[in-house]
Amino acid sequence: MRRFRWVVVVALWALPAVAVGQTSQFGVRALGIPGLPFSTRSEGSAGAFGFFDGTSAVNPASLFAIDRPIASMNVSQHWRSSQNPFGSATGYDANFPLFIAGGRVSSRLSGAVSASIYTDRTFALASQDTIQLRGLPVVVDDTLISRGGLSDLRAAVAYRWRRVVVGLGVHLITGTNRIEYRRGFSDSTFIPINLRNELAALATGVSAGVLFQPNDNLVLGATARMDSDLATEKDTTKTGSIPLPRTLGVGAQWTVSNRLAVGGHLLARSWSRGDEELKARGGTGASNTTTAALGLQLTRSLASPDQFPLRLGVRWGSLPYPVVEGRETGKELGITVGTGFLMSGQRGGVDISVERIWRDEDVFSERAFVVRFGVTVRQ
Amino acid sequence: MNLRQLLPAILLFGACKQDLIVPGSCPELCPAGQPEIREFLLTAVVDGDSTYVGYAGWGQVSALLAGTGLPIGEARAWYRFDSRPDSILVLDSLRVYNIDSIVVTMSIVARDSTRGGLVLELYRLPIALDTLDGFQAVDGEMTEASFLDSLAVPDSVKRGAVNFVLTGEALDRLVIAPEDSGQLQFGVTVREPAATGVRLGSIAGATPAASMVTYVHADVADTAAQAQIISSTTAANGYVIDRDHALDPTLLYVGGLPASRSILRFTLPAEVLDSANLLRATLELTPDTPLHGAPNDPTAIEVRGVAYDIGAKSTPAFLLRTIKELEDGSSDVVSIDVGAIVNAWTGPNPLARSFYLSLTPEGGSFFHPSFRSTRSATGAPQLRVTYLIPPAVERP
Repeated sequence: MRRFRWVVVVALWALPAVAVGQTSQFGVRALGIPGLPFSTRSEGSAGAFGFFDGTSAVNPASLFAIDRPIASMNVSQHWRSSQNPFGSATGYDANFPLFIAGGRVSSRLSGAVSASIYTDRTFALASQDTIQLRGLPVVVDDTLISRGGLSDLRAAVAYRWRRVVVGLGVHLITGTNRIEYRRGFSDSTFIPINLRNELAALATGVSAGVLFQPNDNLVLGATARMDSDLATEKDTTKTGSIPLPRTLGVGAQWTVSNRLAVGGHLLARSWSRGDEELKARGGTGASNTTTAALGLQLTRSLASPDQFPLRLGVRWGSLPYPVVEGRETGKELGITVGTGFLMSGQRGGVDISVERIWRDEDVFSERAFVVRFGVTVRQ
Repeated sequence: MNLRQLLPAILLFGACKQDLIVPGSCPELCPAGQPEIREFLLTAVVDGDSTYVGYAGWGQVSALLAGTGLPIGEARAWYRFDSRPDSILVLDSLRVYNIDSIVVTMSIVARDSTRGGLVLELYRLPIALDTLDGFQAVDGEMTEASFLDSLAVPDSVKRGAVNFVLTGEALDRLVIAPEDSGQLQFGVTVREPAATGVRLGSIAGATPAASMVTYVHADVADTAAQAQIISSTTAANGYVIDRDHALDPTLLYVGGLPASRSILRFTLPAEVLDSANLLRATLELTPDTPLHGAPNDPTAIEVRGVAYDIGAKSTPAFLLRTIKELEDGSSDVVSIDVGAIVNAWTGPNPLARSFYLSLTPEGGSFFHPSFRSTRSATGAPQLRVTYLIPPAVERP
């Protein structure tokens, strides 16, 4: 119990930063770059088993995998290299993509609450230009910094009936986006500019999921989600609303043998619902996205299946917001490897994964390493 | 391994250090909208610009001026010393004395450091003379008959003390008449042909005024007690300058003596007050006549904000201050960056939209610039404002 309290303390410390997401030049537009609430355990296989993982928050039906009270938090560290026609840069950042706590209410019912990244709009753009001021050329250094994004707070339950588990979740999508614009001049007689705005947003949503186990080796899953329009404010002034996407996903998990399980999912999101509104606001619009993941978990020891299994996975997906209007949206490819172990009489679990990511949109490209670290404490 | 052992690693991992920068270029990569930079030229409020006189009086000069051949006019400085007693206390008795020599020390505040061969001349003046008698009266007393000494100031002495050592015939000219009550007064000028000027220390300035040491021989038998000194300090000082002190009401002045200051008022457009971000504001003043002072003698025009604009007794904002050094002989428009002051014209507690102009050093400079006003046919004071309309960042 004492250890459980420790994890709660760490989780509370991390919670305010949940929305601090991965920095990317592909997160510059609109709501930013979307995140999916997979645990580090799932991420080890590129999220392939995420539809069936109780510590992930994609499919509410997966909560039934939680057989006793748990608290789980995840941390990720990103190292990124970005290239575009204006130069290249490397950077790094850390975030807390998912926190979840839940447990079994009865033999048929489980429940959990979670906080995760919905979208991330953390980026910093630096550029230099020469403009004419008072008839003379002056070099200007512009920096546009955005921090924040949207967090997805979810309360969900899962109910089992024979070989079927159904889940239902309600969501509160909220977040702030602090934007800072700086301009400095090579001529010190011009006063540097430092402008700050705060954007706030709020929406609600519901999600439903189902797991079906036709036989002992196969589990099928599906999930659907519908969110309300996102009401936005700039510095407490209402600025309208943006339609959020509908989400539809299917997944499968096949236990090939005692040592090997494979899984995968396909997820479609209708981000283009916000296309018109975003363009009206001066944005580049939005397109629907599809994400697919395929992965495996190889158990090294049948006696201790949770000790250092090998997880591998590959994920491919499209991004919702084009960096440049009119172009095809960016594509993302990730290859992951991961493992984990239980400790303290299986009361504590640690998972770790490493992912290599390639993102491309025409002349914009990005390469990143993401190391994820998850801690789960069970009663 | 247990959870407690892992905790430091978790905290370290989550330390949240970030390096977010990626290269960008607008408008290609900036989320919607470019900052727009605009500029306008604003003329001061008509008849809202005024000159007020009398801020530093004759007794508050920060330095004395002595110069010759300058376009701004001839200048003569004068020092009057405290009374020198006619006897001295030696061995418990007042004794009469004979003067061996007199050393008059004065401080150079500034000189034209690019020109060598500076020569100062010292004259005795009647103690009744002062600044109010005017240049002609003071200069008229500086004749061969009252000449005491000349001093070639070494070129290496850019500022600091210089001494006139008066002996022999000069002492004969320093006999004090009974009606002068023991006081001596001296006039100082710069010898031609070099057209130059020098600023000297004043009682009201930061640099010490003149002092006088009289080396005497007391009438006492004890030879060891015979040599004594009598020190005198400056009782009054001032300078006279050969120029017209009348001010044209259609012009704006700063400096001079008594010192002038000017207030200018502007009205900013609503767009700037509401939503603009000021990049630069430049006050442009057109000299009515070429600016003349002493070569290489730094003098600046000082512009301050105004906390409360109540005319001549307005309260300057002392922390909002900018200065612009004046260029000797220039007729060009004087441009002064006043962005910090104009920035303070907006916001919840704005300052008065006025500028408060003065000269520094005030009361002790050869410069006495005059600028055209809104009452002049051309060249009224103007404010050139460059400002930025913020970019409309794409708003989700």
